Amino acid sequence: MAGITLQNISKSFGATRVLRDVDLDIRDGEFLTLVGPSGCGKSTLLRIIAGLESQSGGHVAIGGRAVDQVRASERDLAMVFQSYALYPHLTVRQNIETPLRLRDLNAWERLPLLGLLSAGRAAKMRRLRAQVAETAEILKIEELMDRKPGQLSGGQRQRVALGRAMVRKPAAFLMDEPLSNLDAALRVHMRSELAELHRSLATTFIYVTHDQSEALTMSDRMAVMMGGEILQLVTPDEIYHDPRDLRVAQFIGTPQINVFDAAISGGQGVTVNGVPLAAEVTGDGDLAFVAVRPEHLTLLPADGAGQPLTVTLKENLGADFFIHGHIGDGAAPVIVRATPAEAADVAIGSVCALAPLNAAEVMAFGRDHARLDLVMTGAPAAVLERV
Amino acid sequence: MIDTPRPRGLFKTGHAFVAPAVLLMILILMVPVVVAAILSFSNYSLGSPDFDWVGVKNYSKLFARSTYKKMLTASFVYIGVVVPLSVFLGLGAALLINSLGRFGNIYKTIYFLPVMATLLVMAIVWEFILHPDVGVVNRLLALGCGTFAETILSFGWLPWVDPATTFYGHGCAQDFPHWLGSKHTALGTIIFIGVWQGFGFNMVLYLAGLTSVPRELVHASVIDGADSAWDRFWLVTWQMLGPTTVFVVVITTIRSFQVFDTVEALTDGGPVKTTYVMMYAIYEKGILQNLIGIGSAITIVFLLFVLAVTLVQRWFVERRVHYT
Ligand SMILES: Nc1ncnc2c1ncn2[C@@H]1O[C@H](COP(=O)(O)OP(=O)(O)O)[C@@H](O)[C@H]1O
Ligand SMILES: [Mg+2]
Repeated sequence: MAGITLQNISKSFGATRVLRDVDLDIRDGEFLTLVGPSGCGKSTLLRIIAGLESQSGGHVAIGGRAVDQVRASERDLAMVFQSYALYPHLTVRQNIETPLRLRDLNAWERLPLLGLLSAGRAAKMRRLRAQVAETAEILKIEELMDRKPGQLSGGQRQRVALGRAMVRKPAAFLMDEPLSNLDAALRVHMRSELAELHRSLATTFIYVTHDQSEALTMSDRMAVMMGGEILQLVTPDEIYHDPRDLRVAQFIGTPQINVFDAAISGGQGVTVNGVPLAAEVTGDGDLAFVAVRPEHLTLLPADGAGQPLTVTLKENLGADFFIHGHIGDGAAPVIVRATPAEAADVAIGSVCALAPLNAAEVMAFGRDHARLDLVMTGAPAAVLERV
Repeated sequence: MIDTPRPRGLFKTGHAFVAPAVLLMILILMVPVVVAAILSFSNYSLGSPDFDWVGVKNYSKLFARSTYKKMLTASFVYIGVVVPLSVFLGLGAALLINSLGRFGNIYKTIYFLPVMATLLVMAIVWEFILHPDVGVVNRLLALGCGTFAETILSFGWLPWVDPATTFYGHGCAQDFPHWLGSKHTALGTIIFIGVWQGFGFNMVLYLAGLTSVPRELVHASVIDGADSAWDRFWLVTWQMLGPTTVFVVVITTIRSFQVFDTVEALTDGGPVKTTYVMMYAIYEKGILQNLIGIGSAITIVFLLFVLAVTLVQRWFVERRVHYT
């Protein structure tokens, strides 16, 4: 059990900067997710924490101890890989045993036959076997112990990889996209199992994924990474409802958040696509975009007072519909969430009206993608104009 | 495969398509072997109109006469030394080059050069290098005589060693060996050239094998506590190279069975048949002396050995080697 602190971590491969001054403070016992698009440096950061790669600059501390000069095996961390990285020539039992053997037995005791002659080995092996058996029981893989990895399904290999990580009770678990090789149903199932495992072990988990739904469902806190930087590190709830950066707002949430061009006209008043919004930007900042989640947009019947929306696609998700379209003849694509009842009279190709934006539910962003704060002027527009 | 009844015509068409390949294989591979097998029971010689069937006499000669015992000894000593040495040197060179990074390419080229060079040409070069009087090797060795090098290399500084009896001391006092002409050194020299020529090929095969060792697996072993390079090699690299190793050993064994050009160019099987390897024996009996019967018998035994090696390989591939 330990917290992990990263200070100013940077990493370059040749001339390419992969990580730019990453600061991260992971609390003891926390489930922290690093989420971001492929190639943003998540795995590199995880490998630096693990000690598999050395940083170009900055410091790593585990449980208060600086580990910059400490080799990977002595950082007391365990890692689960996307490919599971099981030893193909060893049985499941031997795979799980390996980290214990490498740590607890000396080189002499590990020798194939001569090792048997050494005095303390039998007792050590008994202890080690007991630990392996205990791990197998927790993960319910007892009947797989004598098989080779090649004879296991993806989900079973995943469990064995977890077992190999758990068996020596590390200070923290590092997981690099551990679920991405599983099929969709199993992935959802394993999400809850991992969350459960985290609760019962009460150990620090650092979990890397490019899948926002994994991040949103499992983590205590999540860090959104992009281009080698951490853009925001808060709870999943806050990330979704209060993103501090337009790129975070766009990355998190399916379907994607709607982004409109916005401008300031007449003092502080905000206009979106030329339509005034009952809100003002506080402080200074070069307002450029306004973003609204699909569930915060409302469709009106075609003759309603609102901007005309040409429907291009209706996506049926059972409980909800997502209506895709564009405003006027312009390019700006819009996605609106609608109930089945609302969607019933919307036909593809028809034109409906988009209710004016509710100033309480929009987020404003500057040209540099940073979030700007809005204050409402008067009652929310939607209430005013929907007659 | 989909289990639908196939029209008769399709079946015939299929056969027609395979026929040329099958025919060629029979003509080029099977017929010569069968002919050799038949001839090995005769005393046929090329050009003579009549010949007799001699039963298994050719084969019993093969296992009774001392010439052929020497042939088998030479072949198996050659294989027994060249295979392990060139496999381990190939693996070692591949591991070193793999860890070198940028300068690796230079070494790759240097070690691979002998593989590409025509062995016959290289053999002539070796003949010069190893010539007892004007050869570079012996001249170089002689340079050290009478200097401190002799003292060191003859191990005279060890109290229990008489410098005159050691290799270097003896060489200085009398002669350095006639590398290719002495029965004590000829096979060793041929073996040395075989290793020198062959390990670069194994190195390239191992380099290819090393690229298939997954990085995550190496990382997993590091996290698991495989701190020493040896632990990591034993736990991951060596295991993942299993298929490569089987292939390399088989290829090297078969190539060693086939060693011929160095022997033909440098020793002609001598002195006193110490380098009389199978391939050279086939050539000498079947071609030089026109004793087709005995030549064929050696060929058949040779093929049986190669077949055995191939069967062992199949067994390994199926039972022992771990593919991911
Ligand atoms: N060993 C390496 N050498 C050179 N570039 C690398 C190396 N490892 C990663 N990179 C580069 O660093 C960037 C981040 O990689 P990675 O951390 O694996 O991304 P992620 O896990 O977020 O998908 C990528 O652009 C990748 O090409
Ligand atoms: Mg990655």
